[in-house]
Amino acid sequence: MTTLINTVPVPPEPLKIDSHFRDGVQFAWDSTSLKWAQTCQQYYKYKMIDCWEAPTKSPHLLFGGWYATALEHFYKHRALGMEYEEAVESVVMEAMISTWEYKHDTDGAPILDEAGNHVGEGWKSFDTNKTRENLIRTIIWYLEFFKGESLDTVILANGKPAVEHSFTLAVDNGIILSGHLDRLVDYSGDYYIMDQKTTGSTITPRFFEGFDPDTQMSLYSFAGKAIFDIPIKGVIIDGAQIAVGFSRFERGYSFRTEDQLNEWYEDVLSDIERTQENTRNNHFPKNPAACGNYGGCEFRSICSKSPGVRNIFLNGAFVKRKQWNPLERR
Amino acid sequence: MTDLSVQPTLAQLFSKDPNKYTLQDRRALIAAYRERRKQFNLGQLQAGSAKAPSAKTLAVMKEVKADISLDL
Repeated sequence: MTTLINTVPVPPEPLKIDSHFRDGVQFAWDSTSLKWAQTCQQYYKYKMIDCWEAPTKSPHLLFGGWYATALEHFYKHRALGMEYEEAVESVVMEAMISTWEYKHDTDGAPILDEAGNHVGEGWKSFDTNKTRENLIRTIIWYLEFFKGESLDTVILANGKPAVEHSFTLAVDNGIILSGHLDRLVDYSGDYYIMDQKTTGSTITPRFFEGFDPDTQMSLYSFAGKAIFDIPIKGVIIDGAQIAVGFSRFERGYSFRTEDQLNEWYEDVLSDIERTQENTRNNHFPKNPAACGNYGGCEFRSICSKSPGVRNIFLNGAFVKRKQWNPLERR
Repeated sequence: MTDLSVQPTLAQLFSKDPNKYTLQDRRALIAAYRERRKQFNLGQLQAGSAKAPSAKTLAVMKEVKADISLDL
C-alpha cells in the first residue's frame, strides 16, 4: 500500500448547524433519512418525526457499524505509517472493547466480582451470524483477504489520509446534504469512495446490482465529487458474507456518470420538497408497495390497525428514542 | 511458533475483559482466527465457528501447523 502525497484538495470542515429542522421541517438530509422518506412517507413519520424504534437495537446495524469503524481505522493507521500487524491488533482490540459491556446496578454503580473487578460480558446478539465472535473473525479475515490489494488511500494536499470525512453540503432551496465518507481511494488512476456492506447471503453479481440505483451510493459519489473537487468514478463496495462458520468477501463497483448524478440530484430535491410539504400538512401517505420489502416493514403491524388505535400499539411494541440527526458527526 | 496446547481457547478469550488482555492474549486471538481461515481455505466450511473445533478439525489444524510459521 503506497501513500504518496496527492494534489487532492483538503475538503472543507462541515458547517456548524444547530439543528436539522427549521420551522418544523427537516432541511438537513443524510442517506438514512432520505431512504426513509423515499421508502414510505408514513415510515418517515414514524422514524424521523415521531422517533419510534424497536426496543432492541438491530444486530445488523450494530455489527455493520463496528465492522466499518474497524476497517476505516485500519486504513487510517496504515496511511499514517503504522505497521500492518500493529494496525490489525489495534482495530481488533478496539472492536473487542467496543463490544464489551460492563455491568451496573440499578443506581448505575459498577457491579464488582469478589476480586474487585468490574463485571462485564461480551455483546450478546440475537442473530446467529452477526455475533461478537463473527465480527472479530470478519475483521481479521477481511484484512488477510485484501492484504495485497492495489487500492491506495488518497493522501490529501495537507498530507493527511482521506478517511473519516463527515460532510455537509449546502445545495439548492436551503437544503443541506450530509453524511460520512469512510475512505477515498485511487484505483488505476481513478478515484472511488470505499464502502463496506455485510450480508448473510452468498454474494453474487446481483448483490452489487442492488446498489444501482441506490441513494446512499449516489450521495457518496455526489458529495465526494463536491467536497474533494475531483471526478469520482463511483463507489467500491467490499461485500462480506457472514455465515456461522466463515466470512467470505467479494469486491464490486457501482459507477455513477455525471448525468446519473444530475438526475439523482433532481429526484432527491423533489423527494425532499414533497416530504417537507407533507410535514407542513401533517399528512404522510403510506406506500403499500413497500410494506413487504426486506422481509416486511417493521411498522406493518401498526399500519394494518385502525388509525384510532395505532398509538396504543406503537406504545406497546416500540420505544421513543433520541431523534435521528443527519448532522451528528461520527 | 504458536503452541496450540498452551494457547487460551477462543471461548476463554471472548469471556475475558478485553481491557485486561495481555500481549499474548491479543496475539493468540488473531493467530487463532488466521489459523481457522487457513482451514476454511482448505475446505473446512465451519472452521471459523467460535465453537471449539471438532477432533477431526483439530487433527487437520495440527498437520497444517507443521507447515506454517507464525511470528509470535
